[in-house]
Amino acid sequence: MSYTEDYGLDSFTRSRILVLLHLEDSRGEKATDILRINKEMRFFQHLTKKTQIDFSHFKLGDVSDEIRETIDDFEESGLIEQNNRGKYALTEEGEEAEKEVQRTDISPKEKDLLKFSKDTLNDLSDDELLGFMYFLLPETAEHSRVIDRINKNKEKIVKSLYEKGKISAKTAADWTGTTKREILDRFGIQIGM
Amino acid sequence: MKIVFDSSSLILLVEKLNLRETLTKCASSGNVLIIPEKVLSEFREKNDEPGTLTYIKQTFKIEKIENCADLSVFLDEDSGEISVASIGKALKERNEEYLCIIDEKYGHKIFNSLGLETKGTIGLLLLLKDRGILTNQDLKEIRAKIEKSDFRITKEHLDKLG
Repeated sequence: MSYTEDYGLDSFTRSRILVLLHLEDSRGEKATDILRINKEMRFFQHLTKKTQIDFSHFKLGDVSDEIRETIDDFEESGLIEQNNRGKYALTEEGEEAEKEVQRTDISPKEKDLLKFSKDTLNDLSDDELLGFMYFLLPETAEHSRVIDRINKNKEKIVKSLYEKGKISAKTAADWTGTTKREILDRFGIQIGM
Repeated sequence: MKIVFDSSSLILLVEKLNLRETLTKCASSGNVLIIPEKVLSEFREKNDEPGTLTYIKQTFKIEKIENCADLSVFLDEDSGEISVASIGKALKERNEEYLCIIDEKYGHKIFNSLGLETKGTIGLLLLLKDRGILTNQDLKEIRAKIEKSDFRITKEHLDKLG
């Protein structure tokens, strides 16, 4: 017997969620909440240009029933647990199962893209997270109940994402309908080492 | 060494800090300063002054390059950054000595994750000091200019200039 057989980890969604929960974000934190799991998996899907997971445009943008069911099932099976801040993290058994998935079922490129997705989104505020997804994939805001607030604060959100290094000046320009040069002047040129 | 510049570092060095003489010295010390065509067009969006353009064409090698398709997952296909990364990747594959200069946090992070030799403008200035092209006094004067500007820089990075 193996974890893959015991917990149905040959499913694309289940195995990728397990790896996502194992990865650290840019602050070194692994735990994350259900909203971020949905958005990180949606961004991952966008990066891979594949559509293995069904997402519906809902009140806070794209969410997936399959992801919700997987999280409930993993919690019931003891692979993950929820902390007092509502964030999910792998249990010891979950970490063991994840090792098996990494050995057998996921390519290094996919793992890099999951890591990139978590690094990009996991430490954002809720409005930055939703703004990022709505500006990147406008169709996902179709039934959003917060899109007006997000759009009203678009400049502020985009500036914050740029300052945090989550998006380039070019992306900031595209999202605010201006040029890269204008963004560099408006938001300030970042000087690095 | 081949040094490939992104648009924000070009704007900083040529326009905002006016380090044209330093770049000329750098180019005449055996280095090849490169900007992709896309970076030049981003620069020219707000500065199309003929004298500046002549200076850039005399000092930099303007390269036209086909972008690496696999970089478009992380970098916008129609951006200067992807051209800089594509040139850097090609130089790396040819085992040439090179350096990509990119200041934006996002681009810097992506270039590092791609394994490209990368520095920001401060890193480049320190390298030019090590190679005798800039003096400690030059760095202090540059620091003073940066302090008076609205550039976004951490105190830690600024302090590296002395």
